[in-house]
Amino acid sequence: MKASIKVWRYDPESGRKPGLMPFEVAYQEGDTVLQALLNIYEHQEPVSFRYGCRFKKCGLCAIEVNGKPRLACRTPLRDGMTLRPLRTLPNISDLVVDRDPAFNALLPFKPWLALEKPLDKLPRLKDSPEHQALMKCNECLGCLSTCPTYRHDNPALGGPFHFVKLAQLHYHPLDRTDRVAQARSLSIERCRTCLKCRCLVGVPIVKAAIKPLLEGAPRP
Amino acid sequence: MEIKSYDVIVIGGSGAGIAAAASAARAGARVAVLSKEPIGCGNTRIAFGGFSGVEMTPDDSSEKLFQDIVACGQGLGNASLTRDFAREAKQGLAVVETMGHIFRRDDEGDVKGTVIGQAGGHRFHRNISSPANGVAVGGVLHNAALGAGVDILEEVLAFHLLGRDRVQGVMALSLRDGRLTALTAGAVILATGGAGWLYYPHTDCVRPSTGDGFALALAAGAELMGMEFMQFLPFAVTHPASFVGIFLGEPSSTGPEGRLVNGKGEVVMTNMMPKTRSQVASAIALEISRGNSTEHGGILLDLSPNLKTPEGRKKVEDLKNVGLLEQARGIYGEAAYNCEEPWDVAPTAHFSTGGVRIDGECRSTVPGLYAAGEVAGGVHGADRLGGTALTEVFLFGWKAGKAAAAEALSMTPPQANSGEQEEQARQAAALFGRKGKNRPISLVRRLQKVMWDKVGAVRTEEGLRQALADIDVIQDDSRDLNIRPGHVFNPEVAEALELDLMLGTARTMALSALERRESRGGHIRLDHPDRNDSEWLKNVIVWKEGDALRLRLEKVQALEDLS
Repeated sequence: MKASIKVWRYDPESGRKPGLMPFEVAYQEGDTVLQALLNIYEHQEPVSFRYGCRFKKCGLCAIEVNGKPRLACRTPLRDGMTLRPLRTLPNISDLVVDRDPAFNALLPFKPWLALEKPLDKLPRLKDSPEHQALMKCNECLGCLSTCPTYRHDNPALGGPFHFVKLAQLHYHPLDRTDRVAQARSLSIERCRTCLKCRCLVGVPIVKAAIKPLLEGAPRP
Repeated sequence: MEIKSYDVIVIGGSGAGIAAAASAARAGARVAVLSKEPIGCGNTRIAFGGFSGVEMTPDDSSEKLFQDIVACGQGLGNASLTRDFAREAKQGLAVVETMGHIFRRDDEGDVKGTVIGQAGGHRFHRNISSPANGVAVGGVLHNAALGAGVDILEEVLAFHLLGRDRVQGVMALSLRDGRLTALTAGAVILATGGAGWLYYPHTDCVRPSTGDGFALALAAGAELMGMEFMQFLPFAVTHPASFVGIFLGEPSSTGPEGRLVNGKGEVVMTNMMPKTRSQVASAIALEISRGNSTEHGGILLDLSPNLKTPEGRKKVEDLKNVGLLEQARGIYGEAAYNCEEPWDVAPTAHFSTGGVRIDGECRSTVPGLYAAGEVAGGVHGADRLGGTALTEVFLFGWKAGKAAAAEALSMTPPQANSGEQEEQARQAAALFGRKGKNRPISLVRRLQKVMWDKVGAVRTEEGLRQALADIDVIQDDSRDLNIRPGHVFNPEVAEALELDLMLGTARTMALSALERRESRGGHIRLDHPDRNDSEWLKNVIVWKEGDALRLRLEKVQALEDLS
């Protein structure tokens, strides 16, 4: 079978206008969008894109397929598809975006577990179903494309990714920082009437991150 | 060219690298971590997630763990490193939780009872895991590095170690802007992982696993050991093309009644649960090499007999509960997920068991250079027990960081030779927009095919000699590269630099495999099918003198002295 697809091209050094480039790729049933990109890269054009594990764990191959965020490695290839970079982050090259703004937005909040000294054994501690569900986040950043108001250049507007990261710490039994207040300073109030965010690998963002942080759910 | 100076530089941003960086920073060192990918996107993240501890059940002891590792490694490990590992495994687990991860607990919040699993070759229940597998571990690494106050240099490729007789720094390319930087340091830690990607698509490893650290260490004058031992997992996907090599399971997940059936319908193996990964993988590779494969080039793993016994049904339920059948479901469908239909499977390259020779403080044989995790050799030997790698990664990463910081802080910071830096930068800069004949990717794919066909799960002298000749031809062709212009995220330049490292690593693997004229662990020779303890209780040690690879054999301590 052959699929005609369009792939976003952007080369900041070439002087060419960014835009969609058509490709025709041979494929078999079961082939993925990632496989199509690898085939294009190997046999047609050195398009740049990120990937790593080929099975939804590394989170590197998130792009937008027909306007929706998808992991290229788990999306079956279909004729007529359009592939673009994640819309909410700065485009660096072809399908590659700058991930730094998403991660750097959390820097003021010390988004790590701060222990006075390293653990010398595994402590007794209670994990929660919320924390376990939140740890499935593979940091692909696809959720940011489902948020109607996230802006990478506005430090007062967090997105679903940030609330997931803060909620992971909120539900960590050894974390002592007020993550609810931090979420407020990232304007989580605006989520109350929205709740449109979705995760590509099934993290229940609204239930395990947004609502608990909005309501100041008790910590474990 | 920009020059930056640190006390400790860590190459690799996955489990071992971040553990090393955090521990070096805690010891007071100024630390940079260089990662080819965003932090936390290495094999630690995609691991299914077993971490071996010790004394998790009353009758176990570090001595017994030591014996199990030696038995699985068939006597070829460095006994002193294996002992350190067995004694300190619990410390490795504590490092993982120090970084913010939480292992699966029981209802009381303790790590005991049913949360502890048993993997093939372990005589006791020792393996603990995360409810979200490796993804949960990978997901804390970026912030753990930030919390440790480490400089994070992401999408930066280390392609050369600076210094003569002593490693004094690293030459690096930033993928994002094509910038070349010389970084100097009192100590450099390799945490680059293994060489699984040399077998793409027949690997379950991530794309950056190109074995860079082996070639970097060799070029700096360090010794490698056991490079013939690549661990192949027995059960991986054979089709469609997008998923070839993806992990489906291992011997301990076949249940009491699981069986292997070849393309002619003959039962090849039963009772796989107690067998090691290499025993089963080599049996499958042998069947395939005899022409007894299915139309997809694999053989059939039939778990359906488990559904007929209570014990078997329980095993299948357990596998579903821990998520081990998700790949089978996603790729082969519901009937495969329910174990009603057999899976078409073939071996997949999983873990580099050998690597950079280190001492108990992770020092290589070259001053200033350390190695930890999969890039290091010696803990395991000829084969590796399931769950030991992830613990090793964090335990030895932590040790390496501490030792490297102590060394770097006790010395005068090095002034790397500017002539060497400029020559390296000049060569790398010449790659951008080079108008030659061969695209790096086509040479990479040729090399990967050579490795799978001739240095794969079964080997022969003829094949290995041919592989070495093929590698030389690819090396020659790599002098005439065609690379697109542009400095921003130019994947072809990175690939060209990686290719050079991949060739160095591949040659070492093929040469070591040619030398070992017996079969043991992950190294199976069709022309020398038996394990030969009277001749081969020896390590193959490889190093470089000038441009030439040198090799010698070193006897290991006799097995009876190790028990």
